[in-house]
Amino acid sequence: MTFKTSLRRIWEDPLHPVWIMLAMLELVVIIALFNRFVLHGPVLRDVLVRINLPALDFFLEDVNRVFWGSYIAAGGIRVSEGIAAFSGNSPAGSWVSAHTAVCISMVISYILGPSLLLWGLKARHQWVINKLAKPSSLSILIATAAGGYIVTGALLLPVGAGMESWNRWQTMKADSRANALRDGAISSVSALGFQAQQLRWMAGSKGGGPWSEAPGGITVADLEKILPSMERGIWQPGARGSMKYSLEIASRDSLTIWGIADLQGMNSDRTFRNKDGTTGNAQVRAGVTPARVTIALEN
Amino acid sequence: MRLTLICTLLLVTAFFVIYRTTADVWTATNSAGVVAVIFLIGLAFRVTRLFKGRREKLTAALISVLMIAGLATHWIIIWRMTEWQYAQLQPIRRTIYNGMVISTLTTPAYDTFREFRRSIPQATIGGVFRRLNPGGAPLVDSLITKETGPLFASVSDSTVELTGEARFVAGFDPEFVNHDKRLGLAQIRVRVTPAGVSYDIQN
Repeated sequence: MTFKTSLRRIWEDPLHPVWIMLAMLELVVIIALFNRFVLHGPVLRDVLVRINLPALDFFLEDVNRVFWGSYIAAGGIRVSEGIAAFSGNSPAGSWVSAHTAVCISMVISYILGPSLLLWGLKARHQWVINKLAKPSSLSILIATAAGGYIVTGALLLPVGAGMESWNRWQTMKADSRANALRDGAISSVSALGFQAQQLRWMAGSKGGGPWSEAPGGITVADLEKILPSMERGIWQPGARGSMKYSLEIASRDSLTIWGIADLQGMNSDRTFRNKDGTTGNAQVRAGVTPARVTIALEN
Repeated sequence: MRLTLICTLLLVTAFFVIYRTTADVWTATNSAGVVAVIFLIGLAFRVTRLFKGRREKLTAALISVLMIAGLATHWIIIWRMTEWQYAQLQPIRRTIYNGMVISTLTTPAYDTFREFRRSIPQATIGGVFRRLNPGGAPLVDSLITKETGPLFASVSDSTVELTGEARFVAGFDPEFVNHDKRLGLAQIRVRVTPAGVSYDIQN
């Protein structure tokens, strides 16, 4: 009985929240179809490719980004400036179509969308009092649904997206440190290898000569004067403290240097035994002869 | 309606003027964002007023606060994250440059030193370098690529100095005076003496 009454109330009220929700769902479908068949369709895609609007790809990928993605697009512009600077270009300061798109997107997301929703809610309030008053229930329904759609994406989705973005950023930081340490290990063992070669070419009276005949043997300490320069130019700050080295002389013309980084190696089971007694850390080996330094990533 | 138009105008003006002044996309976006948040707070008050009951008013206010706070949090995370990514790119570029130039310049340097050690006591460092690289400068010129930038050679009997200077890659110190009197670019000097090969990442 109650269910029937509720259904009748919904049926008799063209601006019932159920109809507004249904209109919003319809918008989801219409925009998905627009993305699939118009934006990614053969004709428009071809035109857009020909026009070649710089840095607008973010918005052209999905029309929802016009409603919801203003500050994400601003971040994209910032990163693309950095990538352009990689090749010596400096686009910062020049106004491109992506800046216009960010501006339009902000106006739609935070001014027009919420205003449309507020107008719709107020008009509905008036309509409930006087059903013959203008505007028509259809225009109120469309405005409320469109405003609700924009507000849902622009203001409600970021509530959940914040945590995901934070986690992604932390992963990026960890990956960046790992890459810096791995690159640091590779470049430093090869630099130590070249230092060892120099000692091999020098006379015994100057502390050089065949490696196995050096008085007291060669140690990492004899070679590592190169490392401060490496640290300054190749590594990221703090990487040196996370690096250990080990050296073994095999013969008068052959030695091996290992670099071990405080970083999980390639074998995920962490059973790899490192030269410094630890397990599972990244390890790089440099095989050194008077003529050649050969680098291998062991873990 | 009037408020919507005024805020639209304010937001667009804030973005445009601040971007034109600072050339920084985030400063412009954040400034426009402040206009947007002030507008949204005003709008939230008006939405709250639409409800009659105390509980409905409180719910509307709470949802508004949650949405604006969520937006601000995500906004700040994306802002800091992309600034971090931007800042990471410069040292990565410098590292690539340093690695490339060290590898380019140390090869002739080690060849010279090795040959010098073999030819002792007759040879000089400069003499060996000139013998291995007739002309000196043509060798250096042949090593120059788009990536390495200009390279300079200075040869005396006891020392060979090879200097690599970036075309556009910034070094650590923006005030550093480079070999050709430009400012702040990455620079590496490889030196060969009778004591060995050394290199110094100067900027």
